[in-house]
Amino acid sequence: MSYLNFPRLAFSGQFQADVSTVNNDTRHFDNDTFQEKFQDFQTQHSYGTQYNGWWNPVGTGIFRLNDCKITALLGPDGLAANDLALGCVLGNASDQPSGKLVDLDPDWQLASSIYGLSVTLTNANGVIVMQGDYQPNPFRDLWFTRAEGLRGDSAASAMFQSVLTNVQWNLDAIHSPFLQELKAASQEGLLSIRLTTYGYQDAKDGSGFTYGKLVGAIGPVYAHEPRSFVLGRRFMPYLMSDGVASFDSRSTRKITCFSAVVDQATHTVQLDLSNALSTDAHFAIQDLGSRQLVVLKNPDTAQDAVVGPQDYVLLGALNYSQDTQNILSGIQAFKIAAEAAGLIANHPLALIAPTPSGEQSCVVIREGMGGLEVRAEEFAFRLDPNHPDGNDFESTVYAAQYGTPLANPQLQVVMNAPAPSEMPASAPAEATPQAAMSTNNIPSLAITATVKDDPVLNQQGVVQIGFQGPKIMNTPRYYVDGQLYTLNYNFSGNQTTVQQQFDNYAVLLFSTFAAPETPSWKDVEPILTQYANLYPVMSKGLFDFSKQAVADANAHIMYFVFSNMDVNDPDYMPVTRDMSYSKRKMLIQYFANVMASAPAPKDTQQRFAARCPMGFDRQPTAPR
Amino acid sequence: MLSIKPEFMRRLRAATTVAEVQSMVTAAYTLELATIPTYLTGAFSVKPGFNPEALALVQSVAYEEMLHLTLACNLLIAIGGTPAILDTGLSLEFPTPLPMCVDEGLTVALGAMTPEQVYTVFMGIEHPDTQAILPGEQTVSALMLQKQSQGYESIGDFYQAILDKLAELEASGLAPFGQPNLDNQVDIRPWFPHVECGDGKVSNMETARAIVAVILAQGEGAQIGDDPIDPHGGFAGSFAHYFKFGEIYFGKRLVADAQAASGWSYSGAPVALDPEGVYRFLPNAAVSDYVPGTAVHTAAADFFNSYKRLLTSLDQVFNGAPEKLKSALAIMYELKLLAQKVVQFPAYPDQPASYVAAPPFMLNKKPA
Repeated sequence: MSYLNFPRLAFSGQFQADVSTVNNDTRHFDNDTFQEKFQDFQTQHSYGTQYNGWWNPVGTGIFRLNDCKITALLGPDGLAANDLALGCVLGNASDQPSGKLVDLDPDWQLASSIYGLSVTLTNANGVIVMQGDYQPNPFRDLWFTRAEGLRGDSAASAMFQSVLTNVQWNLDAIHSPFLQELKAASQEGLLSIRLTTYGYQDAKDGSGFTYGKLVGAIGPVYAHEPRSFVLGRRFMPYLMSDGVASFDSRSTRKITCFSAVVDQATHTVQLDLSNALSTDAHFAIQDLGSRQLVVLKNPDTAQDAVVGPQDYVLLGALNYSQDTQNILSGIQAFKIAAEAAGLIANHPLALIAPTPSGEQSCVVIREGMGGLEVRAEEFAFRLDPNHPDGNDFESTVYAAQYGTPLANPQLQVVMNAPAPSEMPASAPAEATPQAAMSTNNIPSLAITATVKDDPVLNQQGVVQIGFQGPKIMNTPRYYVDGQLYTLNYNFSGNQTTVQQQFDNYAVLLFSTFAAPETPSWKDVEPILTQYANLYPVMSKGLFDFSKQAVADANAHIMYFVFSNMDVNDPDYMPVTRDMSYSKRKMLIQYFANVMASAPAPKDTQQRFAARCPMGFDRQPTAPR
Repeated sequence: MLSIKPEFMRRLRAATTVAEVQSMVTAAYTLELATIPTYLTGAFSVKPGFNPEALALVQSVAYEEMLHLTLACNLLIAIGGTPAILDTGLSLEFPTPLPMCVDEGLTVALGAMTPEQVYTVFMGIEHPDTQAILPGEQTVSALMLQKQSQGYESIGDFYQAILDKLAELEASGLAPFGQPNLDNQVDIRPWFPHVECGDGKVSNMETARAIVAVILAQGEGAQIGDDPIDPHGGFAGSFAHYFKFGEIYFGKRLVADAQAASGWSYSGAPVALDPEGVYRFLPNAAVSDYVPGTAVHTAAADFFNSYKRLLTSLDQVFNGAPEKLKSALAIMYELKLLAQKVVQFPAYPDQPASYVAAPPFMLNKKPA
């Protein structure tokens, strides 16, 4: 589906995510208890970690592709070896600021989203032959145990899938039948893109700090298909506990969930394993031993069941070559044996491994029971009671069975129980932030989720869920605006299916804020102080906007930064996404008033300082 | 001070077509563009928290040069030319005499903002074309004497010759401003408000003279050639570049002083340039100076990449998309932040006490 279709372009290289981490601890949002050391790098003592500003307090938030080469071109007939697209490079826009990677909220850092990334395909002469804007969305299928022997972000892996919009082609600059086909095959003027990211280096003294590995793919978009995930054959590992199946978040079988599609035209199953197979500590795909892809003849055959050759039809064996990961973007294709052709549409796919005796096999991972899959397209969003159009959101959910849209699915959305924010304690203890920890998902009735009835859509296996924020929202997190809610979604009744552990709704609901007509410095100061605390790359690297004289001297730039309203614009500052409509409006108003009331500064130094990033007055000079 | 190569002045004065004047204005904007890496390198060399007045002064000059670049490009567009900011920017090699300038005159090198760099390079670039004795000088400067003895002309003379030639071509019916292409020019007011030349666009001799007046006044000072000199840049309370740099070099604010020959002296409030607060930058840094595979190389390459993006975006601004200045501004933020990453590293990891890595404005070192 989409990038799993043909023609498909595979690429690999690196990504950079220079994320900012002072805002990783919710307690740092409290101005009253903020300490300067929360802007320092963390330090390791013999008795533990002093977290300070964690591992990258000076992060710029920049997200970019680095050194990504096109490694393979795949069509229905196989690899296209001689096409000039193979010499191309996938990169960033040549004339824009860099894209950014931003968390939804400090209490939900599991849906980091790319904004403002424009992707270019450049030929061997450096000429751009294709450019498109990556539609913002968060990563999915995040797991923290991919790289064996490592811990934390370095061991993690996730997939970003989205579409490129506003795609512009310059195919006169390259003779590439492959690219011509890709352009022709894709609908709605879009392209499907998937980035699998892992091997992240978060140790500040390493030469590759903030860089990681990336394997990706680009393919055609088909209308009416989801854009942020593959609606296909979803393999889902689970653990049983007291008769209840839940997602195997510890990846005990060294393989996590992944999706596949049955490609009718080529009679193959395409498995996207780019994010799924465990690696060693050097991020090389590990050889797990024999794993065979099969179609199970009995749909009720559970994971861990022991099966014999009569219980399945064999399609092929997984390979663990680094080339598959690095050249083919981790996608493996399996011919559908004639014997499987009649079964595959309504029988589960599975990976099996030989039992110790070797005579039989055991099911390592299979499609969800019943072949059921339900996934939301948009699952991380904001609700804002301060704006009439900002307080409701519609999410489109797709349901399928064995990859076929499931008509009239019955769905439910359930808010999670109140849960305290979990932030680490530092060593020594006095270095731990003193602010009280917040609790999420309260008040629980603040958000309503309504499954909407739409016979036409529902018949196609598509359901829309409407979320509504309250008329008024207080500040249950005290020093942090709004509240973070997580809500699970699934089939209702006894049809629930196991989902990836972070595949739930995450909603940032802003607090109601009544901005004064004429905001004064004391109204804006708490917001600006909080940002100055959380983003030292701005407040120390550029100028300290928590000081009135400095903020006012730079009113023009402040106004420019906050008034850029298009959230998809790469110039849109990440920090403005943390703000409700009324707070942003208040800041814009404040700086507009400063500009209007200030006399034209006589000194060009002051005059120009207000308009140029190069010329900030760290300490505004006295007029002469 | 800048001494223009006599052959340039000759060619300009002998020009008979608008196209020839376009190439001269191209040389002028190239010169403005070349000052930007020079002054920005100085600004980036100031350690966080140190020398704030000196930093503010050099930054103010850097963005006035951006105004000059913009005005020169508007002039070029007005007479039918198209600025090639990207190619021009990438072609700049340091150390170098500035474009059009005599080789035996001033050599501009990229380096830390030391007193030496301020005096020799920064003040050298901006030295007014005047016989008057300037504040801080005991006699007429050596550069000025050289210029006199060789009969060189100044940047002011150059711009004046451009204006004269345009007036001459206009009088002979060639209509240099026939298609001023105003939509492609940049309205400077959102970015540089209250400048004497209004929106900074050029469409005739009058507006051409107005923008040249701004460029020259801001750089060298008003009433250049007069004695005593007025150090102001034409705006009340603001000194021209040469005198701002003088304040850094002499370490004090320039104030009116009846005792001084020029009527001014650097005897006001202190302007600190504490050497402890200036990084010992690798001079004329290029990305190729850094060892591939090291963190400093990555940071340097990222910086240079943002500089290229800035040039690319400015190129679009001056070639039909003036609204893209917003994007250019956002890239400038990035440029500054990425510069700060570069300067955390020694230039050579195995010689940490040697030079500090300087944000590179060149990909490859200039061949010796």
